[in-house]
Amino acid sequence: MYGYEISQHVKSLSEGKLILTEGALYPTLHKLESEGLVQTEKVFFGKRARKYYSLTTAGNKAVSNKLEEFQEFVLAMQLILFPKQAH
Amino acid sequence: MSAELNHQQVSFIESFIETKGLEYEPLQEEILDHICCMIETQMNQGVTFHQASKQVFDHFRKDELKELQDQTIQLLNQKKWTMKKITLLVFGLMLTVVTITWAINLDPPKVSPLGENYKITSGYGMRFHPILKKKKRHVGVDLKAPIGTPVLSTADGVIEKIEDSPNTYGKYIIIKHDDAYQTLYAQLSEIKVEVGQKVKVGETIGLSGNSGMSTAPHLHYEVIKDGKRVDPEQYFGP
Repeated sequence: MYGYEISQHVKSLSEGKLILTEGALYPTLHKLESEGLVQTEKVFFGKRARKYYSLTTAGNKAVSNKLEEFQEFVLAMQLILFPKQAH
Repeated sequence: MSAELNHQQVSFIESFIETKGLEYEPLQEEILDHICCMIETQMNQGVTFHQASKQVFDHFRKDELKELQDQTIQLLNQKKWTMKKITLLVFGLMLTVVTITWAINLDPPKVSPLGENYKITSGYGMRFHPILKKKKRHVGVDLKAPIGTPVLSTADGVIEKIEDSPNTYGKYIIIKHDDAYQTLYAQLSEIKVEVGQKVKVGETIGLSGNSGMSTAPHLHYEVIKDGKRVDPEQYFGP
């Protein structure tokens, strides 16, 4: 996926609720690339160059770690915000 | 059929990006494609290139592209920055350790040479000398002490000097504590240490007496800081 495609994908998946701005997207992508979590492939057409991003093996691992972390966080927040009522 | 910008239109967008101060090449290419895509999406919905480009250009605030570039570069440099922070931290820690070591090595006298129960019979400063019968600066303090009272080292240190001057100090000891401080104990009856011996604070170094130019049994005590006699009472503890 390339940058614009990612932003549109996030928008459609979240039914327009999440707008990934260029200012948030590109610095992050470049950082992830420098950390070796994503790899890029450049395709030229005319004056334009399109950079396609994909996850590396390390990136895949990082995603599952982060997902787990995030799920735990959501669970913990639920426990705090909606404590189980005593019977 | 989906719209695709022609060479001229792409160049037009390229020059817009350049005027916005985006100079970092890897980003330049990407933003160019991004903006082209935005315009093409609008053109697919029937908007003209002119309208679509105007709308997209308005979408980016004045310095937005420049900020995007700065943020990217900052993020990419963050590792180096973290290293700098760690280096600074290590340096700070080392400095603290050195300071603490230095402070520990500095060992000013901190107790009275007779322990907790002492009575000053003659303080530091100008006084009328009881034997010489004239005003003289008293460079130490006199503490009331029956002959044979144990005299204690007032800080950790090394015995620097042991002497007997019958006309002045009588038997006396000088202890060197650190680079700044020395203490002197005079009018002793007995000396229990030797030159070069290490002593701890509170250790008995001798017994009080009446051995020098003295009218009554007492301990004459001096604190010497950087070679100058200072008021010992400042160093008698809290």
